[in-house]
Order: sequence, then structure tokens, then C-alpha cells
Amino acid sequence: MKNYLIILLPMVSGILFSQNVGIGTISPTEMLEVNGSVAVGTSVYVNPNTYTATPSGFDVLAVDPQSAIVNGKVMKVETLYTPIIIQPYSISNIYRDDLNNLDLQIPSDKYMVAITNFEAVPSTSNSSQPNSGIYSNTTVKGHFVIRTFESGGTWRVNIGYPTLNTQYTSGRYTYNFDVILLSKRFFKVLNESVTTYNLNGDISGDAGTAPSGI
Amino acid sequence: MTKKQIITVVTVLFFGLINAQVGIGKANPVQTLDINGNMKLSNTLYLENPGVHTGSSVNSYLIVKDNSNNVIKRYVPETSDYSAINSVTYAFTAVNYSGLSNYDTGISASSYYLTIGGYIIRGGGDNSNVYISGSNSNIPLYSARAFVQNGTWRLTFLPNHGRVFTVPADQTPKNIEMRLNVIVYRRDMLTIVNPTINLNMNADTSGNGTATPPEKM
Repeated sequence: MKNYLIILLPMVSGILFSQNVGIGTISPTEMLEVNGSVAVGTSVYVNPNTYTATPSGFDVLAVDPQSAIVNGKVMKVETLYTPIIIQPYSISNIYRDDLNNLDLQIPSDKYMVAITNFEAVPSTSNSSQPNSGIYSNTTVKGHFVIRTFESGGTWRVNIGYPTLNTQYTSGRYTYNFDVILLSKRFFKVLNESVTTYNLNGDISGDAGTAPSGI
Repeated sequence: MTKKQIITVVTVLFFGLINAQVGIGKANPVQTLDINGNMKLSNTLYLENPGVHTGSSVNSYLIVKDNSNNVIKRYVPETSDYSAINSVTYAFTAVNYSGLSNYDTGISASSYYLTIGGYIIRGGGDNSNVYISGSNSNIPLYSARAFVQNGTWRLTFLPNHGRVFTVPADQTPKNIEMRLNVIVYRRDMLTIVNPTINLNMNADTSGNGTATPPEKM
């Protein structure tokens, strides 16, 4: 009967329910049990337990800001948007060692990328002219480049020896590598443009301060 | 009608109408609905405008659903067996001078994806003198990758063309050392792995090409 009194005075000092409350259920097992869905207009404050390993594992949750009828549906992040995407590539029949500008068609405004798991497989289109590697019969041994760069709004891959080549034009490579895409929706680029540090011929340096955001 | 049924009916009647703050198990609610205890939903939770976290990343946790009991919990890497991104550095000593051909990490290929990022090759005893054998005029490229065999991830680091590492003549045995920075991605946590994109460059002398976009991104 105490609850009646409290409900009859709703505007005075708030409403108190002192036992389990059910909505759509007559036998609530928790302080509030809803047989259905709940939409919250602003914030939810929770004090959850810390997950400790169980054999059945867990799902990371996220909100879908564009969910139907009511925005902000809480769901498994894997069903929405995957923060990390691993994309393997096999680029075959490369002329000599020259992979200068491979357009991955991955938008650079949405993703950061990293190149990893590199493998170069040599071959030749003329068996009398084998591909024995990058050729230099002088003391100049060049430099190897493996990098991603942005151009025209997409990520590009550049792999090879810019100043050297295979000995013969018949030299070919297959480059196998993986590109890791990290979504900027979830991960942060600390400086949107390249930051230049002039070391003035020294072999050490000091940035002074960490990039902002660290 | 039981007491609980009455409350249920009253609750349904009032929740759509009232503007006052409601406390459940709490005499002085400080939010529109303030529950001193657990809340259980049979269906979906919608957060229409939860706000944006603007603080430091060290002051936030991922929220996860424990699949053993459907309870929402905070995710703390230290108390979990694994994370989405796991880092392992493999330091190999006394590696045969021909390189690393097939090192079985024992890591399940069905649950994880491995990549080799950074690496360093040294002579035995952390000696900085290590060379590639053979022709002075041909520089080999190499393979530095993780691959799957018999359900587990393997590591390989080999120069092409059967070239081998050499160390100073006075070093015996002729073994080398190798350190590989390996990133281990959990396949079912925040990560998807797309099928391989194959592109034939047809020996285009410009070295320029266009790959198809990733299937999922």
C-alpha cells in the first residue's frame, strides 16, 4: 500500500518504487525488468562488472546512429561496422621490380592503412634470362621502398628499388602482402598531414612534445 | 491482483505520462529513471543521443556483452584472455644461417590472423655483422610473412633465390639471430578478414595499376 501513496504524489518529490518493477511482465526478477525494448533519449549511466574470461566469450557493443524508427540501437559492433579490416593482396606479373602506384581504391579520408606480411616471389618471362634479384654491378646498391601513400583521395602502394632494376626486362615479381585498414571512425590520426622534423644532420632528435592527443 | 501486478499496471500507466524523476529502489532519483540495481531487457536497448566521449582514451572502456549470461560488462584487456590486437615479439637465437623457413607458433588459424611488422636480423651473439651470401651484383628480395599450415600460423623469413645469411669468418657456429614483431588479430573481435584480391599487372612498364576495392570496408 505504501507504493500507492507514492504514486499518488508524483509531482511532489519524484517517484519511488521500492521493490522489483516489471513492464510487460508480472514477475520481474531484477529491480527493473522490461519484456520488450527500451529507448533512452539521452544518457545511460551504468556501473558494470568487469568482463572476465568465459568459454563462451563476448561481443563488443556499439550504437547504430541510423537505426530504423528509433536511432541508437545497441548491437554487436561486428554487425555494424568493423574497425579493423585485413585485406590480403597478391599482385602478379609485375614488370621487373616496379610496383610504383597501385591504387587500392580505399578512401584515405575514412581509413588509415598499414602494409605487412610482405613476400616477393621472383620469376622471368624468358628462361634464358633469369631473375636473380635486383641488379647492380657497381658499388651503388640503391634502396628498397615498401610504403603506402595517399593520392587523389585513395591509398596507393609503392614497392621496389626506385634506382635499380632486375638485370633483364624479362624479370617479373609477384608481391604478396596484407593491408590492414583501420577505420577513422574508431581510430585516430594524430596529425592529419605529415609532420616534418629537421634533424640538421644529427643522428638523434627530440620532438619536444608528443603529438597532441597522446 | 498481486502487489507486483498492481505496480506493473500502474507503471505502464504512468511511464508515458509523468515528468517527475522515478526511482526504483532509490528514494532520491537524480535522473529521469534511476534504478538502484540491475535492469533486464528481453529485447533491444536504444540510446538515441548518448553523447560523445571527449576525454582521454585511458578514461574509457569498451562495453561488451558476456555471452554466457547476456550481462553488459566493461572490457578490460588485463582480465580477458585476449584482445582485438595482441602483440608478440619473437626473439630467435641460434637460427640456421639459411633463415627461418617454418616456425610453428601454435596459434590457431581459425581464431587469429598474424602479421609480421618490424624485424631485425643480427649475427650470433647479437653481432651487427651479418651479410647476404653470393653474388655482389644481385640483391635478393625476401619473404617476411606469417602463413597457415595444418591449422596453425607459421612464421617465415627467407631471402629469395636460396641466398643465405653469412656472419664473420671467426664466428662459430654460423648461426644468426632474428627478432620479429608479430601482431595477432583476433578474428571475431572488431576484425574481419577479406578474401585475397588478385591482380595481374600484365608486365605494365609504368608500374601503375588499380586493384578492386576490398569486399567489406
